Amino acid sequence: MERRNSVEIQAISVDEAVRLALEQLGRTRDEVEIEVLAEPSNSAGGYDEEALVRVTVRGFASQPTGRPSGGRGFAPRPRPAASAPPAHLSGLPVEPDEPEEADEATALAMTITRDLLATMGFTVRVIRQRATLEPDPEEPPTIMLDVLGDDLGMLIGRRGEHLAQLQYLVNLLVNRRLGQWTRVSLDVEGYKRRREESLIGLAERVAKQVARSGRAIQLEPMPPNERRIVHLILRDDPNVTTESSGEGDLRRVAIAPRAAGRGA
Amino acid sequence: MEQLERVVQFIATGLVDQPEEVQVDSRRHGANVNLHLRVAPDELGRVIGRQGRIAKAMRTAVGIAAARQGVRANLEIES
Repeated sequence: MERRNSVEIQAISVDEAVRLALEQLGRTRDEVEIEVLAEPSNSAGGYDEEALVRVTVRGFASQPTGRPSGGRGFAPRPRPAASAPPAHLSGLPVEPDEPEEADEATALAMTITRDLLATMGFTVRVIRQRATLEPDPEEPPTIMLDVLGDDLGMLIGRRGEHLAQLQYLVNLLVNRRLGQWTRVSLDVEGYKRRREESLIGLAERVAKQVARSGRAIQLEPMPPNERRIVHLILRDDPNVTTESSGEGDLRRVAIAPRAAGRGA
Repeated sequence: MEQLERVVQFIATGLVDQPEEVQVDSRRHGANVNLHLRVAPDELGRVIGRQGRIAKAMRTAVGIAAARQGVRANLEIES
Protein backbone atom coordinates (compact mmCIF):
# COMPACT_ATOMS: atom_id res chain seq x y z
CA MET A 1 0.00 0.00 0.00
CA GLU A 2 1.33 3.37 -0.94
CA ARG A 3 1.84 5.88 1.82
CA ARG A 4 0.32 9.26 1.39
CA ASN A 5 2.74 12.04 0.75
CA SER A 6 0.60 15.03 1.46
CA VAL A 7 -2.38 15.77 3.68
CA GLU A 8 -4.44 18.78 4.53
CA ILE A 9 -5.71 18.88 8.07
CA GLN A 10 -8.07 21.17 9.87
CA ALA A 11 -7.81 21.53 13.63
CA ILE A 12 -8.26 24.05 16.40
CA SER A 13 -4.68 25.23 16.23
CA VAL A 14 -1.82 25.11 13.77
CA ASP A 15 0.23 22.97 16.14
CA GLU A 16 -2.59 20.49 16.59
CA ALA A 17 -3.17 20.29 12.83
CA VAL A 18 0.52 19.64 12.23
CA ARG A 19 0.58 16.99 14.91
CA LEU A 20 -2.39 15.19 13.36
CA ALA A 21 -0.88 15.48 9.89
CA LEU A 22 2.39 13.91 11.03
CA GLU A 23 0.40 11.12 12.66
CA GLN A 24 -1.46 10.53 9.40
CA LEU A 25 1.65 10.52 7.30
CA GLY A 26 3.70 8.55 9.79
CA ARG A 27 6.50 11.13 9.50
CA THR A 28 8.45 13.35 11.80
CA ARG A 29 8.51 17.10 11.64
CA ASP A 30 11.91 17.32 9.93
CA GLU A 31 10.79 15.08 7.07
CA VAL A 32 8.04 17.41 5.89
CA GLU A 33 7.19 20.83 4.52
CA ILE A 34 4.42 22.62 6.38
CA GLU A 35 2.17 25.19 4.78
CA VAL A 36 -0.31 27.09 6.87
CA LEU A 37 -3.34 27.58 4.61
CA ALA A 38 -5.52 29.22 7.24
CA GLU A 39 -4.89 30.58 10.69
CA PRO A 40 -7.53 29.93 13.31
CA SER A 41 -9.81 32.89 13.90
CA ASN A 42 -13.23 33.80 15.10
CA SER A 43 -15.47 34.56 12.21
CA ALA A 44 -18.72 36.45 12.25
CA GLY A 45 -20.49 33.50 10.65
CA GLY A 46 -20.95 31.81 14.00
CA TYR A 47 -18.42 29.05 13.45
CA ASP A 48 -14.85 29.60 14.39
CA GLU A 49 -12.45 29.14 11.55
CA GLU A 50 -10.06 26.38 12.34
CA ALA A 51 -6.46 26.22 11.35
CA LEU A 52 -5.82 24.50 8.04
CA VAL A 53 -2.37 23.20 7.20
CA ARG A 54 -0.96 21.25 4.31
CA VAL A 55 1.86 18.94 5.24
CA THR A 56 3.89 17.44 2.42
CA VAL A 57 6.71 14.95 2.68
CA ARG A 58 9.93 16.56 1.46
CA GLY A 59 10.70 15.59 -2.14
CA PHE A 60 7.03 15.36 -3.04
CA ALA A 61 5.56 18.49 -4.46
CA SER A 62 2.45 19.69 -2.79
CA GLN A 63 -0.72 20.08 -4.76
CA PRO A 64 -0.84 23.38 -6.58
CA THR A 65 -3.83 25.44 -5.68
CA GLY A 66 -3.98 27.06 -9.11
CA ARG A 67 -5.02 30.31 -7.54
CA PRO A 68 -3.57 33.75 -7.77
CA SER A 69 -2.02 35.00 -4.58
CA GLY A 70 -3.93 37.49 -2.51
CA GLY A 71 -7.16 35.52 -2.58
CA ARG A 72 -9.25 35.47 0.53
CA GLY A 73 -9.99 32.49 2.71
CA PHE A 74 -7.44 29.75 2.49
CA ALA A 75 -4.75 31.77 0.77
CA PRO A 76 -1.58 29.73 0.90
CA ARG A 77 1.62 31.16 2.24
CA PRO A 78 4.40 31.39 -0.30
CA ARG A 79 5.68 27.91 -0.84
CA PRO A 80 9.30 26.98 -0.43
CA ALA A 81 11.14 26.59 -3.74
CA ALA A 82 11.58 22.88 -3.10
CA SER A 83 7.91 22.25 -3.70
CA ALA A 84 7.78 24.05 -7.04
CA PRO A 85 7.72 21.05 -9.44
CA PRO A 86 4.33 19.55 -10.20
CA ALA A 87 2.86 16.69 -8.27
CA HIS A 88 3.75 13.97 -10.79
CA LEU A 89 6.39 12.71 -8.40
CA SER A 90 3.78 11.50 -6.00
CA GLY A 91 1.98 9.68 -8.80
CA LEU A 92 -1.16 11.60 -8.05
CA PRO A 93 -3.04 13.69 -10.54
CA VAL A 94 -2.72 17.42 -10.31
CA GLU A 95 -5.98 19.16 -9.70
CA PRO A 96 -7.06 21.21 -12.67
CA ASP A 97 -6.75 24.93 -12.26
CA GLU A 98 -10.17 25.61 -10.87
CA PRO A 99 -11.28 29.03 -9.80
CA GLU A 100 -11.70 29.98 -6.19
CA GLU A 101 -15.04 28.24 -5.82
CA ALA A 102 -13.19 24.97 -5.52
CA ASP A 103 -11.76 26.03 -2.17
CA GLU A 104 -14.94 27.62 -0.91
CA ALA A 105 -16.82 24.50 -1.89
CA THR A 106 -14.33 22.33 -0.04
CA ALA A 107 -14.51 24.45 3.09
CA LEU A 108 -18.29 24.37 2.95
CA ALA A 109 -18.36 20.61 2.42
CA MET A 110 -16.06 20.15 5.42
CA THR A 111 -18.20 22.35 7.64
CA ILE A 112 -21.46 20.72 6.60
CA THR A 113 -20.04 17.24 7.14
CA ARG A 114 -18.73 18.16 10.57
CA ASP A 115 -21.96 19.87 11.61
CA LEU A 116 -24.18 17.06 10.36
CA LEU A 117 -22.16 14.46 12.24
CA ALA A 118 -22.04 16.69 15.33
CA THR A 119 -25.84 16.85 15.47
CA MET A 120 -25.80 13.07 15.19
CA GLY A 121 -23.57 12.88 18.27
CA PHE A 122 -20.20 12.28 16.60
CA THR A 123 -17.22 14.46 17.29
CA VAL A 124 -15.03 14.18 14.23
CA ARG A 125 -12.22 15.76 12.32
CA VAL A 126 -12.72 16.22 8.61
CA ILE A 127 -9.70 16.26 6.34
CA ARG A 128 -9.15 16.37 2.61
CA GLN A 129 -8.33 13.14 0.94
CA ARG A 130 -6.28 12.84 -2.23
CA ALA A 131 -7.58 10.74 -5.10
CA THR A 132 -6.03 7.34 -5.73
CA LEU A 133 -7.56 6.99 -9.17
CA GLU A 134 -7.13 9.29 -12.12
CA PRO A 135 -10.23 11.43 -12.10
CA ASP A 136 -12.65 10.61 -14.87
CA PRO A 137 -12.31 13.48 -17.37
CA GLU A 138 -16.00 13.19 -18.18
CA GLU A 139 -17.01 13.91 -14.62
CA PRO A 140 -16.77 17.11 -12.61
CA PRO A 141 -13.95 17.30 -10.08
CA THR A 142 -14.81 15.68 -6.78
CA ILE A 143 -14.18 17.06 -3.32
CA MET A 144 -12.73 14.16 -1.38
CA LEU A 145 -13.13 14.20 2.37
CA ASP A 146 -12.16 11.75 5.08
CA VAL A 147 -13.80 11.74 8.51
CA LEU A 148 -11.63 10.81 11.47
CA GLY A 149 -12.61 10.05 15.03
CA ASP A 150 -13.29 7.33 17.56
CA ASP A 151 -15.84 4.60 17.18
CA LEU A 152 -17.15 5.59 13.78
CA GLY A 153 -18.18 2.13 12.56
CA MET A 154 -21.85 3.14 12.61
CA LEU A 155 -21.09 5.81 10.03
CA ILE A 156 -19.89 3.15 7.62
CA GLY A 157 -22.54 0.46 8.08
CA ARG A 158 -22.80 -2.86 6.31
CA ARG A 159 -21.06 -2.73 2.94
CA GLY A 160 -20.68 1.00 3.43
CA GLU A 161 -24.42 1.55 3.13
CA HIS A 162 -24.62 4.17 5.90
CA LEU A 163 -21.65 5.98 4.47
CA ALA A 164 -23.27 6.06 1.04
CA GLN A 165 -26.46 7.56 2.52
CA LEU A 166 -24.53 10.17 4.52
CA GLN A 167 -22.51 11.06 1.45
CA TYR A 168 -25.74 11.56 -0.46
CA LEU A 169 -27.05 13.91 2.25
CA VAL A 170 -23.82 15.90 2.33
CA ASN A 171 -23.96 16.24 -1.45
CA LEU A 172 -27.53 17.51 -1.29
CA LEU A 173 -26.78 19.97 1.50
CA VAL A 174 -23.62 21.28 -0.12
CA ASN A 175 -25.21 21.68 -3.52
CA ARG A 176 -28.26 23.42 -2.11
CA ARG A 177 -25.98 25.96 -0.49
CA LEU A 178 -23.65 26.40 -3.45
CA GLY A 179 -26.26 26.49 -6.16
CA GLN A 180 -23.88 24.72 -8.51
CA TRP A 181 -23.17 21.06 -9.01
CA THR A 182 -20.24 19.81 -7.01
CA ARG A 183 -19.55 16.24 -6.05
CA VAL A 184 -18.41 15.33 -2.58
CA SER A 185 -16.90 11.97 -1.82
CA LEU A 186 -17.09 11.10 1.86
CA ASP A 187 -14.89 8.54 3.54
CA VAL A 188 -14.67 7.41 7.16
CA GLU A 189 -11.29 6.50 8.59
CA GLY A 190 -10.09 5.64 5.09
CA TYR A 191 -12.65 2.83 4.72
CA LYS A 192 -13.43 3.51 1.07
CA ARG A 193 -9.77 4.19 0.38
CA ARG A 194 -8.80 0.76 1.66
CA ARG A 195 -11.64 -0.92 -0.21
CA GLU A 196 -10.53 0.92 -3.31
CA GLU A 197 -6.98 -0.26 -2.94
CA SER A 198 -7.99 -3.86 -2.44
CA LEU A 199 -10.42 -3.65 -5.37
CA ILE A 200 -7.69 -2.33 -7.63
CA GLY A 201 -5.55 -5.34 -6.72
CA LEU A 202 -8.48 -7.71 -7.17
CA ALA A 203 -9.51 -6.25 -10.54
CA GLU A 204 -5.98 -6.48 -11.89
CA ARG A 205 -5.46 -10.06 -10.68
CA VAL A 206 -8.78 -11.28 -12.05
CA ALA A 207 -8.19 -9.44 -15.35
CA LYS A 208 -4.90 -11.28 -15.79
CA GLN A 209 -6.55 -14.57 -15.03
CA VAL A 210 -9.35 -13.87 -17.51
CA ALA A 211 -6.85 -12.85 -20.19
CA ARG A 212 -4.86 -16.05 -19.61
CA SER A 213 -7.78 -18.47 -19.47
CA GLY A 214 -10.06 -16.75 -21.97
CA ARG A 215 -12.96 -17.35 -19.58
CA ALA A 216 -15.11 -14.67 -17.96
CA ILE A 217 -15.16 -14.35 -14.17
CA GLN A 218 -17.93 -12.84 -12.04
CA LEU A 219 -16.92 -10.86 -8.98
CA GLU A 220 -18.89 -10.86 -5.75
CA PRO A 221 -21.87 -8.49 -5.56
CA MET A 222 -20.73 -4.97 -4.69
CA PRO A 223 -22.27 -1.55 -4.07
CA PRO A 224 -22.35 0.88 -7.02
CA ASN A 225 -19.29 2.90 -6.06
CA GLU A 226 -17.19 -0.26 -5.87
CA ARG A 227 -18.44 -1.60 -9.19
CA ARG A 228 -17.58 1.72 -10.69
CA ILE A 229 -14.01 1.41 -9.47
CA VAL A 230 -13.65 -1.99 -11.17
CA HIS A 231 -15.02 -0.57 -14.44
CA LEU A 232 -12.65 2.41 -14.21
CA ILE A 233 -9.57 0.35 -13.46
CA LEU A 234 -10.10 -1.98 -16.39
CA ARG A 235 -11.53 0.59 -18.79
CA ASP A 236 -8.32 0.75 -20.82
CA ASP A 237 -7.26 -2.85 -20.38
CA PRO A 238 -6.63 -4.22 -23.90
CA ASN A 239 -7.49 -7.79 -22.90
CA VAL A 240 -10.73 -7.60 -20.96
CA THR A 241 -14.08 -5.83 -20.76
CA THR A 242 -16.34 -5.37 -17.75
CA GLU A 243 -20.09 -5.47 -17.41
CA SER A 244 -22.51 -5.33 -14.48
CA SER A 245 -25.54 -7.55 -14.22
CA GLY A 246 -28.12 -8.49 -11.60
CA GLU A 247 -30.38 -6.25 -9.54
CA GLY A 248 -30.06 -4.34 -6.30
CA ASP A 249 -27.87 -5.97 -3.68
CA LEU A 250 -26.97 -8.77 -6.07
CA ARG A 251 -25.60 -6.59 -8.84
CA ARG A 252 -22.09 -7.71 -9.73
CA VAL A 253 -19.36 -7.10 -12.25
CA ALA A 254 -18.24 -9.73 -14.74
CA ILE A 255 -14.78 -9.46 -16.25
CA ALA A 256 -14.73 -11.03 -19.73
CA PRO A 257 -12.10 -11.46 -22.42
CA ARG A 258 -12.21 -8.70 -25.01
CA ALA A 259 -13.16 -9.92 -28.47
CA ALA A 260 -10.05 -10.62 -30.58
CA GLY A 261 -8.91 -7.81 -32.89
CA ARG A 262 -10.47 -5.13 -30.74
CA GLY A 263 -7.41 -4.51 -28.63
CA ALA A 264 -6.77 -0.97 -27.49
CA MET B 1 -34.89 13.36 22.51
CA GLU B 2 -34.04 16.83 21.44
CA GLN B 3 -30.90 15.66 19.74
CA LEU B 4 -32.76 13.50 17.24
CA GLU B 5 -34.99 16.44 16.43
CA ARG B 6 -31.91 18.50 15.77
CA VAL B 7 -30.64 15.95 13.25
CA VAL B 8 -33.91 16.17 11.30
CA GLN B 9 -34.00 19.95 11.67
CA PHE B 10 -30.44 20.36 10.43
CA ILE B 11 -31.01 18.27 7.33
CA ALA B 12 -34.49 19.56 6.49
CA THR B 13 -33.67 23.25 6.86
CA GLY B 14 -30.64 22.69 4.65
CA LEU B 15 -32.80 21.28 1.88
CA VAL B 16 -35.77 23.62 1.65
CA ASP B 17 -36.30 27.18 0.48
CA GLN B 18 -38.49 28.04 3.47
CA PRO B 19 -36.58 26.84 6.51
CA GLU B 20 -38.93 28.80 8.76
CA GLU B 21 -41.70 26.41 7.74
CA VAL B 22 -39.76 23.40 9.02
CA GLN B 23 -41.24 21.91 12.18
CA VAL B 24 -39.92 18.90 13.98
CA ASP B 25 -41.36 17.25 17.05
CA SER B 26 -40.91 13.91 18.68
CA ARG B 27 -42.59 11.56 21.12
CA ARG B 28 -40.89 8.86 23.01
CA HIS B 29 -42.51 5.50 23.71
CA GLY B 30 -40.09 3.39 25.68
CA ALA B 31 -37.12 2.75 23.44
CA ASN B 32 -38.91 4.12 20.38
CA VAL B 33 -38.85 7.73 19.32
CA ASN B 34 -41.44 8.86 16.80
CA LEU B 35 -40.35 11.97 14.97
CA HIS B 36 -42.57 14.15 12.82
CA LEU B 37 -41.19 16.45 10.20
CA ARG B 38 -43.41 19.08 8.65
CA VAL B 39 -42.36 21.32 5.77
CA ALA B 40 -44.16 23.75 3.46
CA PRO B 41 -46.51 21.68 1.28
CA ASP B 42 -44.83 22.71 -1.97
CA GLU B 43 -41.45 21.62 -0.59
CA LEU B 44 -42.34 18.10 0.37
CA GLY B 45 -40.42 16.82 -2.62
CA ARG B 46 -37.24 18.41 -1.33
CA VAL B 47 -37.22 16.29 1.82
CA ILE B 48 -38.64 13.13 0.25
CA GLY B 49 -36.87 13.01 -3.08
CA ARG B 50 -37.46 10.80 -6.06
CA GLN B 51 -38.62 7.40 -4.91
CA GLY B 52 -38.16 8.59 -1.34
CA ARG B 53 -34.41 8.64 -1.70
CA ILE B 54 -33.84 11.73 0.44
CA ALA B 55 -36.27 10.52 3.11
CA LYS B 56 -34.40 7.23 3.21
CA ALA B 57 -31.05 8.96 3.69
CA MET B 58 -32.54 11.18 6.40
CA ARG B 59 -33.91 8.10 8.16
CA THR B 60 -30.48 6.50 8.00
CA ALA B 61 -28.89 9.55 9.62
CA VAL B 62 -31.54 9.72 12.35
CA GLY B 63 -31.29 5.96 12.83
CA ILE B 64 -27.56 6.17 13.41
CA ALA B 65 -27.96 9.01 15.90
CA ALA B 66 -30.72 7.06 17.68
CA ALA B 67 -28.69 3.87 17.86
CA ARG B 68 -25.91 5.84 19.47
CA GLN B 69 -28.37 6.72 22.25
CA GLY B 70 -29.72 3.22 22.47
CA VAL B 71 -33.14 4.06 21.02
CA ARG B 72 -34.94 3.43 17.75
CA ALA B 73 -36.18 6.28 15.63
CA ASN B 74 -39.17 6.39 13.36
CA LEU B 75 -39.44 9.42 11.11
CA GLU B 76 -42.67 10.52 9.50
CA ILE B 77 -42.84 13.32 7.00
CA GLU B 78 -45.94 15.36 6.38
CA SER B 79 -46.83 18.64 4.77
